[in-house]
Amino acid sequence: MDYIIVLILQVLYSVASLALVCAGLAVVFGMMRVINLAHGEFIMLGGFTTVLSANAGVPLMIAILVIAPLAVGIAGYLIERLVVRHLYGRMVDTMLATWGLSLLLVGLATMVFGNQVAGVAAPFGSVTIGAYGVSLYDVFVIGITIAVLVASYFVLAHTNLGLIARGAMQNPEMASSLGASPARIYSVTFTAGAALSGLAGGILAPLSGVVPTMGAAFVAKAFITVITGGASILTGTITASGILGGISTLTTFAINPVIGDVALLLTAIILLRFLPYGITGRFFRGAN
Amino acid sequence: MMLKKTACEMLTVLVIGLIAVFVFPNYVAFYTVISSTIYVSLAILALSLALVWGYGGILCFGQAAFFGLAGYTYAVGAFNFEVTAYAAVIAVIVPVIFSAVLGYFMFYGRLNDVYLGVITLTVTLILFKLANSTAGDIYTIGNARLGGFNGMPGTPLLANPFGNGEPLSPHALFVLATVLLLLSYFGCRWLLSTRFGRVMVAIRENETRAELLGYDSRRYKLIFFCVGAGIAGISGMLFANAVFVSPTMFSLNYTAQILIWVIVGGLGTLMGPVIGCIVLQVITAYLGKTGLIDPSAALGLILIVFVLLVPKGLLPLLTELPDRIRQRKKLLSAEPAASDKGEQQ
Amino acid sequence: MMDQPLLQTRNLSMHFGGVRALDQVDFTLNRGELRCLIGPNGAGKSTFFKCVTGQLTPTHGEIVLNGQQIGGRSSSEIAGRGVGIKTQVPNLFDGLTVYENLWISVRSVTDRRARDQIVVRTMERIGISHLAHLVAGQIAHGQRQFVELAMVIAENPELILFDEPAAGLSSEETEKLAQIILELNRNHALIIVEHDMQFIRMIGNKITVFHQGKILAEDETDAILTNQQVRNVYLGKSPA
Repeated sequence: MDYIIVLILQVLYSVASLALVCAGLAVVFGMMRVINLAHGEFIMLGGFTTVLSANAGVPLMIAILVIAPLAVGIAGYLIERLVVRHLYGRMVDTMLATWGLSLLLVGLATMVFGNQVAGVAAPFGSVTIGAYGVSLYDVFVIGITIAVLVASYFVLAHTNLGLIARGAMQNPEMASSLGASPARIYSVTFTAGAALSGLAGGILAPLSGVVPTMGAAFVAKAFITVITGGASILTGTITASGILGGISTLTTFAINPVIGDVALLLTAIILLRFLPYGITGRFFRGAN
Repeated sequence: MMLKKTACEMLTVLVIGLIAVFVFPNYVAFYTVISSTIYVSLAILALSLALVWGYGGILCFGQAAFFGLAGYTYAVGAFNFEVTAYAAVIAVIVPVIFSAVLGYFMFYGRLNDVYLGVITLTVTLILFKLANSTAGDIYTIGNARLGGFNGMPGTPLLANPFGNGEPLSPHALFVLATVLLLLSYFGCRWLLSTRFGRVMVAIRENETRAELLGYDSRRYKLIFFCVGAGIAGISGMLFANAVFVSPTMFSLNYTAQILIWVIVGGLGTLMGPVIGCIVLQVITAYLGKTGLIDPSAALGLILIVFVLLVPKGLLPLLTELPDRIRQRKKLLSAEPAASDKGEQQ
Repeated sequence: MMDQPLLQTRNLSMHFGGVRALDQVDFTLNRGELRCLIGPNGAGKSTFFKCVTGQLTPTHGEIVLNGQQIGGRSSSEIAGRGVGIKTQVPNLFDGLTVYENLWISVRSVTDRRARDQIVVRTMERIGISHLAHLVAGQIAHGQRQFVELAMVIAENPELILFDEPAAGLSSEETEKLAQIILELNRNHALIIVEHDMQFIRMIGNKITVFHQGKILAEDETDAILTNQQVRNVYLGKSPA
């Protein structure tokens, strides 16, 4: 019995952390059709911000929930202005430019912080369920992911901003004739996506520690999940995280983490073979 | 016009190739020959992406996967076979088979280019993880220990299968690499001149049109993809001999660099990426030595700058220069008119 | 065998969400026939072409070409069985020369010299030989129309579909096109979607009228032009 509970918690935790890592990417991809290959580096920046502020004496929760998203959001805003803005509508070029950005950020972080792991201790301690210890921080991650998803749903479905943003995604010209400038919507969306990634980085920092090259570990998983999810940002991300995260945790339990990753990828490729537009979508034909 | 340019390029390549084989190694330091072998083997890798992406329109971020697979296959084979040349041949075959399976799922699922990019990238990263996790005695194939993070140092070198079994000297390896680069280049040129190659380029230009004319684009892409994987395989096999096999062959770092070589050199050309590769290798090696700026940061910056400002790459810029000047002169003498089409597929 | 129709659709329907772009269409085309399709915008003509060429998979119904099911097959397979299309917006290989465009189009002839010959002959026939070495992306719209026409002719399919071939052509070019089409009809079956009645009069003898995804009428040109129902549809009244 206790084994089952722990297993369920573990699956929930890995689904949640996968969804968390994907959220920022999903928003930017879903709304703007921009594949941001520097996504992993946004997470890395969030992690470093958290660790640095915590080490400077800021309470950890404030560092994670406020400073990390804020700092990375600002970085995202600047990057949108300087690079991404000039490439809208050119998906491949955007991918390449953000890849360049990713390399640049990794390189700069290595020059500033050095190539070593920095970290903070995870708060909250743990409880025991039967014979197993469960970290309360894992439960916190599950909770905060649910909160983030609910909040995004609320923003998208019930606020003016969400309405305009969804309108712009369907029909940019229409939205601009309603007085909402697509450039501004894109700017806000990209900033919001970056802030979400920063938050994810902050939350993950106490768990895995931070290194300049940590982004690479997330980027592949996050992309494959978002693409498998398809056109619908929230439903897509949640279902794809559920399926892929679930499968990868179970295989991890049964065999080992590397096979878990392989299983995740194989599932995604096979799913995409039969649902080329992702689980929720029939978007996006042709090469643009 | 196009034909003349191509003939010109082929002649240049032949001359430079002959100089590289017969003159170059006799006049430079031993150390330079060894590092040149590495550059040449990586140039073959650049060529493979130049073909697949530049002419096939297949956005493959996974050339490093084939490169690494070939390296590992060669190393495993070389530890096990008496004749290392067999290992070299199998090293090219294995990535081709792998690409056929992967390509089947991607092309027959009709995934578009962005998805292709992401999936091939992911596959490479997963292979990176897999290779890293092979530390320990369980991961042994015959006499070959995969070695996890440390890779497989001490791999027996390629030997002339018709000789006395002595491994190739660094000089001979350099010559072999250069000859293989030349063969790959002329092979690509030949492929592009065949009907198959022309149809592939047509599919890149307009896939719907090609399909409506009765060409099954999935099949063409799959075959082209496999050819690219084979060329990347040659590169990986050489690299395994010039350096040694380790998980870094699958790393994001290589994956990104291949792309940057192609973009900097010029997408849609064969020679551009080869030149781009060698120039950028020299630059990063220099940066690594001086420690002035992190090589990864420099490459990232270069990539951003090229995508934003020089999207066509260096080679087209240079070869179009005479045309442009002529055009400008013509325009100046006639009425002013817009000359740029500014179009890109 | 020879008296079986070339193309036949039975009960062909294509739904997009709640919209019925095609609604139980039964259409028959005989060998060597020339048929014009007319109808207001959104009547389903383009959808019909897309189903026949395999760009769309029909929701229901069958498409039979030469006695074989082709509904839902891939575009390339259907093209391989002898269906060619000249699309509405000229659809060329923009980065290749006109010559290369045609060369690619001659799919079924493998011999290199024979291929070259077909290309040269087709260019002469359509009168675009002077464009041979220009890049397709850089020539004028009217010329692009003729290049695509030449491509389809070079492909030499049994059935050729034309989607508004006269759109954007000058009256001189339209006349030339009509001539070419009549000539083509000697060896090929043709289906032509067109709005230009002037043009239809030049080429047509039998017309099928689409309206709201269904076939509204099918008759000789003169009868259709005097058909009250058809007139109502074009004037925007719903049919009685």
